[in-house]
Order: sequence, then structure tokens, then C-alpha cells
Amino acid sequence: MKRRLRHLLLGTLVVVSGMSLISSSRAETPAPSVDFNQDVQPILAKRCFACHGPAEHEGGVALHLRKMATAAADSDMPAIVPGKPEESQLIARITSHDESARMPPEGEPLSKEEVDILRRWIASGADYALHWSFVKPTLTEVPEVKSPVNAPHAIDRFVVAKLESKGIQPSQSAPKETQLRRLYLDLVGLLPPVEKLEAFLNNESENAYEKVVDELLASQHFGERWGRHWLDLARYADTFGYERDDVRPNAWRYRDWVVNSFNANQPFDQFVTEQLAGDLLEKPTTEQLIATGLHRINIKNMEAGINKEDYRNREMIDRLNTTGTALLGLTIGCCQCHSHKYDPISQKEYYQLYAFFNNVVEKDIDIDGTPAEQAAYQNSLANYEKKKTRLQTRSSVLKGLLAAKTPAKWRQKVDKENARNERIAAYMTHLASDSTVDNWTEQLVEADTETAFGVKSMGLSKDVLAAWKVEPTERTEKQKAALNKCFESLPQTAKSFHDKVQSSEKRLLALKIDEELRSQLLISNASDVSKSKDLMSFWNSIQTRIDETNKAMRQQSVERRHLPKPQIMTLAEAKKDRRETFVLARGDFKQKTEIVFSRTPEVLPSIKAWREDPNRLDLAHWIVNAENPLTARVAVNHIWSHLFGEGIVSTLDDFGTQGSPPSHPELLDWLAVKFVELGWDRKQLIKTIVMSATYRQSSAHRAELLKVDPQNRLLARQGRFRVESEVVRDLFLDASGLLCRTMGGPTIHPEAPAAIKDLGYKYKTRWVLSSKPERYRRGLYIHFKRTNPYPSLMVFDNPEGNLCIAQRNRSNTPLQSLVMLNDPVFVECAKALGRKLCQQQGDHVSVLQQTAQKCLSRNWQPSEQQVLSDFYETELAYYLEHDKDAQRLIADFEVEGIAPAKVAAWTAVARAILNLDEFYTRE
Amino acid sequence: MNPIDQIKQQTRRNFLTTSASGLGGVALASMLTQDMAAASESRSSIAPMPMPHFAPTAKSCIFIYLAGGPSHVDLFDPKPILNERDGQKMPDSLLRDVEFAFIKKDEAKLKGSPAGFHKHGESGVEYSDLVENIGSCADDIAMIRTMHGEQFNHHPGQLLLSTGKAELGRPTIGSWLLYGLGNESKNLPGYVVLTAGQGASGGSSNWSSGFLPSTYQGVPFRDKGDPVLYLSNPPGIARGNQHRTLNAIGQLNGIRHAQVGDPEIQSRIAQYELAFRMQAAAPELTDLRGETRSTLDAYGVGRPTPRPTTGMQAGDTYHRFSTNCLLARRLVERGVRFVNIIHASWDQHGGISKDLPWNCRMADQPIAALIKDLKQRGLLDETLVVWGSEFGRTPLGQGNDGRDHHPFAFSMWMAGGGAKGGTVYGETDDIGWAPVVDPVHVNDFQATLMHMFGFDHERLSVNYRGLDVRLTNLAGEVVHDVLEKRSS
Repeated sequence: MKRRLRHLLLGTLVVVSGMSLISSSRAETPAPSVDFNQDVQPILAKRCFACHGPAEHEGGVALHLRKMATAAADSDMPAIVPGKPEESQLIARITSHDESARMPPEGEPLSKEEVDILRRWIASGADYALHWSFVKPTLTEVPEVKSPVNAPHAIDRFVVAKLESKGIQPSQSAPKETQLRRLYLDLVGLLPPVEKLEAFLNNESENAYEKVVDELLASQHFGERWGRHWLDLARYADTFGYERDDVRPNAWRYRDWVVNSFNANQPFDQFVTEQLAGDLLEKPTTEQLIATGLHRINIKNMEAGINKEDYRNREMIDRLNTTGTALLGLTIGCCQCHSHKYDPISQKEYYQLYAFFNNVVEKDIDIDGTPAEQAAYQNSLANYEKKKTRLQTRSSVLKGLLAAKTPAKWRQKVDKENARNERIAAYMTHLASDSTVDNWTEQLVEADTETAFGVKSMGLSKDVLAAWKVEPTERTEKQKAALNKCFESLPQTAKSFHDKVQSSEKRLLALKIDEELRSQLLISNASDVSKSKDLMSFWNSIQTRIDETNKAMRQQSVERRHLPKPQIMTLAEAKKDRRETFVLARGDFKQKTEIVFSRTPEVLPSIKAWREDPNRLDLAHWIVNAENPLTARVAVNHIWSHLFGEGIVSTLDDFGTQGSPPSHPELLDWLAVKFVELGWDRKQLIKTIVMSATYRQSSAHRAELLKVDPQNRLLARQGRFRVESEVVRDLFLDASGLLCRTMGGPTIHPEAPAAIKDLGYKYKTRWVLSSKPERYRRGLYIHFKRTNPYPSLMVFDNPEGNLCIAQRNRSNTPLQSLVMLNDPVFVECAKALGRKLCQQQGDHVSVLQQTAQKCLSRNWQPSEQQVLSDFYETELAYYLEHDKDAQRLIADFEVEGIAPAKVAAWTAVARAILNLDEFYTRE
Repeated sequence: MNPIDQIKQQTRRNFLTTSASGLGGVALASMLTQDMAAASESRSSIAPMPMPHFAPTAKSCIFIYLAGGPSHVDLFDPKPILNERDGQKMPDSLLRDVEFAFIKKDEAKLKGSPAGFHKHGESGVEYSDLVENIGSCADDIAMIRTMHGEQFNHHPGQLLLSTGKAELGRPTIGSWLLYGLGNESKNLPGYVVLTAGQGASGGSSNWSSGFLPSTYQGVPFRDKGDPVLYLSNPPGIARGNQHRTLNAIGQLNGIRHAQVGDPEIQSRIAQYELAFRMQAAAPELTDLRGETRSTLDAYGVGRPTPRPTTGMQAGDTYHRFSTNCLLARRLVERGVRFVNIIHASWDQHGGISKDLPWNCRMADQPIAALIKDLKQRGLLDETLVVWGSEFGRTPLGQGNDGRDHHPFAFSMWMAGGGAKGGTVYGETDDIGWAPVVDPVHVNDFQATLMHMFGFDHERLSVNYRGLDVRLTNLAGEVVHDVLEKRSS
């Protein structure tokens, strides 16, 4: 890998030095000519296309295609006359002083600048160009910059060139400490260990930084950090969603597949292909089948009484939209009901894409799993069966009591039943002891007529009953086989009848009533219930008890589905009864119109070149084909956004005409082309980016940038932002030393408020607290229930797992403060850290310094030191006076030989430090 | 600090700690918008829209969400002809294009309502005896009998009512209001969710902020333990400790801010201060000791919960629902914008003859008490109270004693906040199957609600993934006839 990188950098430098001769003329170009994509298209898309675009042609005017814009409209006048703005209706209407005639009819009129752009564009011939993202990216020359020392790296040259054109200097490199902490947070989502910090600060060699990068990219935690980014796009969750929202006990296998793929640095094209069509690969491996879980973990309605086709259609739409958003950056979801208003994708083309997915079937495949998984499953299955039998017995005893009306009658009934079962068992044994099938069938015929119990009550199947009525000589082979099989099982049947025989006393045990009541029920003369008060109230409660038991049985039947049976959730292609695909009017599954076949949108490279009848695998190959103008751009933009806080295209999920234009189009294309050239190597791409000076610069805000670039689109500094929901938790656990680094496997259930159980709908949320240290594992392993997600994640803008999410929100709310201050999980971290601090050597100044190094990867300044020292002293004084409070605060975290007040004071200090904005912020 | 920074910090703080509408002035508002866009808190397209489009009649909303689908023909829409035809089959023509969740068409028979209906108030609007207390507020209620939607399963139906479309990931009504109007409470979240009994099947999607930042999401309050999650300090941390801790955090954050200049840190400091205030305000909110005995009794706080009918969760549901209604009043008194009271056991496929009266006994008294209490305190004028659900129930019976989901016609009502009391809007056919006069789609209802808060529902939108997304999806017309005419 390292060699490849050097190669990449070297290549860049060659290009740069080769460029130096021709670069300087650029700055002298006069006022820039109008660029359709950059200048014109955004205005048309924003202000005109809603009524005069791909979907609507009001007044016969459509402006999205040159051919249509220059043709005569309903008014007989063309909207655009190339070269002649004054004759173009477009200009006349947008500049009209008559408000009723002026376009657009709603909102502010176009600004002077906008009108000017359109005027100049028409004057120069009104040339159209394909929207930038639909044109294949090409390598542009890496620009020359004035300060080459500042920018040895291609990325930096693109960024600095743009900054220089605006007269802005990039920021200084961030302090080494900040760079290290940034790398750790970005690449593995954990804190740099203090010894790594020291080593890094003391290492003056040139490649010290690169070494850290390599080490972190090789860390197993890299996959956890970056896999989680992909899981946002994959709308990952551990339940089905909707009303029932049952658990999917095997969803985690897909989560682990994603994590492993990142860790193994699987090339992105394979990563995508396996997820979309792993089942269609030649002899797919189990792993490749698990990958297709991408389109199995989507939200699915299991509510009773739904129209299955309706929801199948909704799932297909979700699968298609997710594919479009995550991989192509297209808001194709808009086309579900109508042609896209802004982008050149028609409703028909949407359903042509839909056709690729329309014949997938969901296939769960049993696997052995690890021995531990298999054992856990067998164990839970056995428990389940045991409980089921217990409930069934309970129910039948209660029903028997109710039907019998009095205890005495009930006992008579039980005795009768027992006698009958004994007789059947004895008779079965007798039959089985006879040596031939013919003999026992003969006897059965007699039994049917002569004995008190009918053969039917012996539980023989219909086939058997039919077969033994036939003359032995006339029996078919099938009938003979059925009888033989039954004959062999006679002893077991006898045993099962025998097992049913249970004394009244034993039956009553199933009811869990007190001994006295039980003995009362067993007294044969307790025939009149009304004579005993206890008996009376028991009798009155029977119906309620039956209801409760029934309810428990219903609950239990749900549990059956929750058993951790080792399975993988995969996609397969339907082989028979294949569906035809239709355009659905308004997206309504009932309104089928035109029939369509699997095709890709015309504005993108054609898939037909490969096969007349392309399938899902072809679609996957088409998506990751180098000719596809979108895939690589979208992928590198995602990666970039995780390293800067914003994408080069800030609308990560919209590369269409309504999305934001790229802040650095040439850089985006350079990255996209390089990414493909590097064999879609994600780690390599990440390394290329984090090695740049642009990445390494300071994130401190600069007052002079506020006016010129308030959103930091030009990257004159790094981004500074709060880490994501799971990482907030991970950092707390890491700083406290509680973090359990075990990877993968079934979900965990950390401590949760009782409310999480209260809030769940029917079949309450099952939240069985994980044991220690499992419960201290990273946030991405927390069980995620779609309708009732873990509150401390949601408060930090965790995605809901219902839709493909390319970019998380980053809110800042008082509820976040409450979680970090008071959530028992977070408090426990403060306590664990406090306990460590009070045991550390040295005076409290040096202990505080060590804490800063651990939590913030830096030392306190004197002013900060002062605040904390004062705080420590006050709290110490308080807890010396309030020993009870001290003991309560440090409960379970006491330290032998150290006064509780001291431990408590350090805990208070730890809690304050963990709550600093800087602690959970990536600077 | 330069003057721009100063204003930015001031406005930002104002917004976060008080309200957007408290700012006034377009210039300041746009500056705020810029500021919000500059900070990473909100994505470029999602900046608060701090002013209504025209004068609102309502300031806050108490949305009582009886999830599951209460039977309109048994509660609010009397149908004598349905009673006459009890047990008869329905004309095939009506059934042709209809789907049911559970009913089998060839077995379907009309089911009359056992409930008695009586006229109430000066307006003489008829209410079922099961909700006679609500009926006693008839003159304050605008009843809509022709609500309809197209979703006949619970979660999708709930999404339609809460977000305007049966699709996940969209903001709920409360989020839109909070986004549009800000929060007037200095110490409490602006969007509060109160649940009694089991939660709605849609779970958190009923109070999600969708693609809007979590600032606008509903905060579930509990009536037991901490009203808000993690409101209490950990054991051993007294309020004084907490105060000193927050001071230390604030000072250290301030020092960092001086170095890196990120306005987000200022916001963080404000959030910690707000959290601290909330720690005092929320328990004060749920402490009902200041309420008079007669108020508590009127709402039914403390009353016992009768034994439930088969299969229902009960516990102390009656008491909790009563408490939630009372808390709702206390919340709007304190400036909270949107209160969502959820109770979710109205899905009576069977046992309706027992379950529905049981539910009504729970809901009827406290809801009526809430309306009267608000009125008596002069709050009803500016507080909109809504009774709503994702659909109604079939005039056809299901099994012996049930009704199936029915989204084609059902009843919802509004009181206060500019709703025209004593009105009945819309008419369903003789059996309550479909609207005959003045149908009101769920989106129309939402448009009307937004109108009461001063918003043109077509203009309060956010561009998300290339679409201007709004609460009312692509539809919605304001039902002006249920609105009081007020001179503004």
C-alpha cells in the first residue's frame, strides 16, 4: 500500500512541475465567460424548471433542453433565440415590469446578476451542457500555486489555488496534538492513548505522522468507525420496523460483514457488487450472500391485515431509492410518482430501474454459526419449549376447573381422563408387542367396534386410519409404508399417553397457588365452592387467570421469532412466476400502466451495450463501471465529508441539478479518477486525503473569513464539529477505561431507562441488560429498535434506520447536556475515571495534566488549571463535610485506603472534564 | 470581540434560550438565519424560519392522539339508519373497491351502535353517551365528521396524520410548529410527548423531527420518576454541586472559545445553562401539589382504574391519562408550543362493547376537564386542543363484537385556538361509510391547523433532497368553516 501511495504522490509532483510553464497565463483571462453548468443551470433549475422543466411544460415552454427552449411555445414565440437576448421571451418575461406577466410568478424577481448571466448566456449562443455530474470525470491539470512550499500535495494545490484566487491564506497546521487526536477520532473513533501521544510528540522524524496513519488504517477499530458510516446509508437496524417491530436476531451478520469489508480493505467496486448482487455471482460464498443483506435489513411491515403487494412495492421502492441515494447520489425517489422536475430522469426510467429489483425474493438460510451461537440457540429453544409446556398445562388445568364447575367434579374428570389414558397406553403397548403389522391392524379393527375408546382418540393420522380399513392384500405400497411407520412409533405414542397421566395434585402445582388453597381444592368434599371464601375468590379469578395465561402464550409465540436461530438474510432471484414490471401511475401499486424492462436512465451510459436483458448483477457492474460518471464522485465525496465535516458537494445525497455544485469541482474529479485508478482502494484514498496539508490545518475559526466564506466552503481551515452519537459514548467509555473492545456478534443492551420498556408498543421492548464488560462495548453494537431506539443515541442525532441517510444532523441541545451529565452510563464513566485519578501519583496539578492528556491530548493552560484546581478544592471541601453524598456518588467505585471525599472530588472533576465541549468535539 | 461576533452571539443565544419570535425584526432574523447556516448545527437548507405568514389565532397545541382508530359511529357520528340495518349485508356496490385489514367481504354485516346519542349545549350537537363530558363542551368544539385518508394500517396511518404522508423520515406536526415559531419556554422543551398505557405502534416516528435537526423533535415526558430522561442529578450530586460543575464547564468552554472562536461553543454553554434550568423547571411542572383538590378531581387525578376488559394493559392508566391532561395545561401555561398526549388502545377488532366504554371512561372526563380548565383560565383562546386518530372503524362488524379499520370516513375535532365552537362540519352517508358533504382529508386538517398558527401550509417548507417538503405533502386545503372569524 505504501508503495502505491508514493507512486501516487510522485505522479502528482511530476504533473505539477510539468505544468509550471503554462500556468501563469490563467490569472490574466478577462471577465469569465458564462458556464452553463456552473452559472446558468442553477438559475433555471431553481426558478424555472418546476413549471418549465423535464416534468411540466406550462404554456408549451420547457427550458431544460435547447431544442425545446428554442422552439416556438404556445404563444408562437420561442423562449430563447440564441444570440439574441432582446428577442428572447425568457428575458422579456423575467424583466417585465408588469407583475402579472413577470416570471417567476412566485417569490422575488430574479436578481440583476442572474438576469445578466442569462442575458450573456443567450447572447453567446445559449449553449447547453449536460449537468456536470452526468459527465464522466476527467483529470484536470493540478494547478500551480504561489506558495508551493505550502502545498506539496495535489489536494492542497487545488485548494490553495482557489484560496489564492480569493486572496485568502490557508490556516496554519494544527498543533501536533490536535492532528493526532483528529486522526484517532476520524479513523478509529477513539482517543489516542497517552503513550502514543508522547511518542508522537517526541518523534521528530518526517514520517511520524504517516506511521500513525498507517497504524490506524490497519487497526480493527477502523472498520467499526467507517463501517458505521456505511450503515447510515444502508438504513441499518436490528428490528423490522412498523407496528410489530419484531427483532431480526441475525441482522448483525450484515453489520459485521460491512465492518470486516472495511478492515480487509475490500475494493469498493466489489463491496458494492456483492451487496447488490452477491447471490448472482458464480458460486457465491456465505460472505457474499450475507452482503446482500443490504436489501434485507430495510424496514418491513409485519402488521396483520396489510396488503402484501402494497408493502412489497414499498420495499422495492425503498431498495431502489436507497441504491440511488447511496451510490449514485440521485434523488430518484422523486420519480416514483412523476417524472423528475429537475433532473433528466423520467418516471418510465425509474420503473426501468425498479425492474432490476422486481424479482428478488427474500431467502433466509440456516447456518451452523459458531458452536457458541448454536449452543445458545439450542439452549434458548429448550427454554422456550419448557415454558410453552408449562403455560399449556396451566391453561388446560384452568380450563378444566372452569368447565367442571366444582373441585369435586374436576377431580372426577381428571381421574376418568387418567384412567382412559392409562388404558390407551396399555393397549398401544400391547399392539406394539405383537410382531406384525397385519396382526395389529386386525386388532385395531376389532378395537374400533368393541372397546370403549375409539381408535380416533389414539391420535392416529388420517392416512393410517384409511390404510388399516383396506384389506391387507389390497393395500398400496404407500399405505403399507404408512402403517409400518405408525407401527414403529406405537411405543412412543403409548408413552405420550402415559405421560398425560398426572395426579390432580401435580396438575394444581402448575397454577402456583398457595398450599392451603391447593389442599382445599383436593378435598373431595369441597364440592360447594361457596362454602370457602378462599375457594370462592379463587374460582372467581379463574377467567382472569385464563386470560393472563392466554396473553402470556401469545407473548411467547412472539418470543419464538426472537430466538437467535443462526441464519443469514439474503436476496435471491425468482426463478419461476417472474413478475412483469409496470410504470405505476402516481406510484400506486394498483395503477399499472406501461410495461417496462430493466434499463438504466438514458442520461447515463447505456447498460444495453452489455446485454439485451440485463439483470441485477449487470446493474451492479454498471454502477461501479469506470464509465459511470456518478459512483466514484459520490463515494469519494462521502469519504471526504467524514474527514472535513462537509462534502465537496455539500448535498451528499443529491448530485442532481438541485444539489449544491461542488466547491472544488476539479478536486472532486481528481479524487474520483484516482480512486478508480487505485482499484477503488478506500484506505488508500483516505490516506491520500489525511496526508494533505488541507486536512492537517487548524480548525480554529478566523474572524476575517466570516464575511467571505462563512460556511468554510473554500477550506481555509479544517472543520470543527461534535462527534456522532455512538462516538460520544465511545469516548466516554474510552476515557474512563471501561471500554470493552470486543468486536462483532449479536447486539448488546447497555443500561437503559425504564422508559425504553414503557414506550414500546405491544410485545414490549425486550431489554435484558448485558453483563459486564459486554455492556461497555462500542455504540455501534447497541441493539437498535426502530420504533423505540436507545434514547442516548437519538439525542445526538443518530439516524432512525428507516431511510438511507448520507449526512447526519448535528444539533446542540439541552437534552444532550442532560445525557452527558446524568445518564447513569455516562456517570459511571465519570466515576471510573475519578477512581483512576485519585489513585494516580503526584500532586493534583500533575494528575490534572495527565487527565488532560488522556481526554484532550494536550496540557491545560494555567487559566484552565486554575479553574479545575479551584473546582477540585471546593468539591473536596464539600464532600469532606458531606460524607454521605461522597459515599453515594462513588458507590461501587470506592478505593480502599482513600477517603471517600477525595474519590468523590476527583469524580466530580472527571465528570466536568468529560462534559467539556472540546472532549466530544473533533477539532 | 468584534461587533458582528457580539450580535451573532447575542442572537444565537436568544434563539436557543428564549424564542425566535421574541427576536422581532427581519434584519435580525436573517442574521440569525445566516448564523445558523454558518454554524454546523444546521445544514444549509435547514435554518429556522422565525416568523409566521400572518396573524395566528393559536399559540400552542395539545394534540390528543387516541391511536388505534376510535369508532366514529359509536362516539361522534350518530347513525340511526345503521342501527336499523343492524345485521344486514352491505350493498356490493359499496364494497367493490374496498380493502379491509381483517373483515372478509362475503361475511360482512352492518353493525349498529349500542351507544345512545344526545344533543348538547346551545349548539345541540349530538355526542354519544360514552363521551357525554366531552359533549358538555360541545359549544367550544368544532366537530369534523368527514375526515378521511387512504392508509388502512396503523403505522402508515399514524405517519399520515403525524407527518402528512405515509412515509418515514418526515418531520411531525409539532416539529414543523417548533421550526416555524420557536419555543416560548425558557426552561422546557418546546415539544413534549406524554404517554399513558402502552405507546402508539408508530413509536418515536410520531414525534420525530425527521430530516430536521433533533432540536425540533418531541421530548417524551414521564409522569413517574424523572419527567425528562436524566433530569435528576446522580446520587451524591446536590444542586449546589451541579451548579458549581456547570460553572466550571462554562468557564473552561469559554476559555476554549476564546482560542478557537467557534460559535458552536457559545451555543453549547447556553445548552448547559438551559439544561440546568430545566432540571428545576420540569419537576416544578410535574409537582401537582399546588393544584386545588377540585382541579385534581375534575381531571380525575388519583382515581382508580377499573379492571380492564380482556387483554388490555391497565395498571393505573386512568390516573395517568388524567395526569397527562393536567400536565398538558401546565405545559402550555409555561409556553410550551406542542403537547402530544398519546393513548393507544382504540383498535377494537373484538371486544368493542367492553373496551370502548372502558377507554371512554378513561378519556372523557379528563379531556372535558382540560377544555373547561383552559377556558376558565383564559387559555383556550390561544390553545388548540385536538382529538385525533389515524382512522375510524367500519360500520361493518368484525366477528361478533368488533369493527375493522376504516380510513374512508372518521371524526376528529378541535377546540380553542380559533376553532369555531358548536360547529359540525361535513356529513357522512347514512351508515357513516363515506363523506357525502364537505370531505376533509388528513392533509386538509393539517393545512387548517397550520393556518391557525399563522402559516400558509404551502409556504412553510424545507428543501430536502431536491423537493420542497411540507407538512401537507402535495395537497391540503384550509377548512375555513371550522375557524372563528377574529379581527386581528
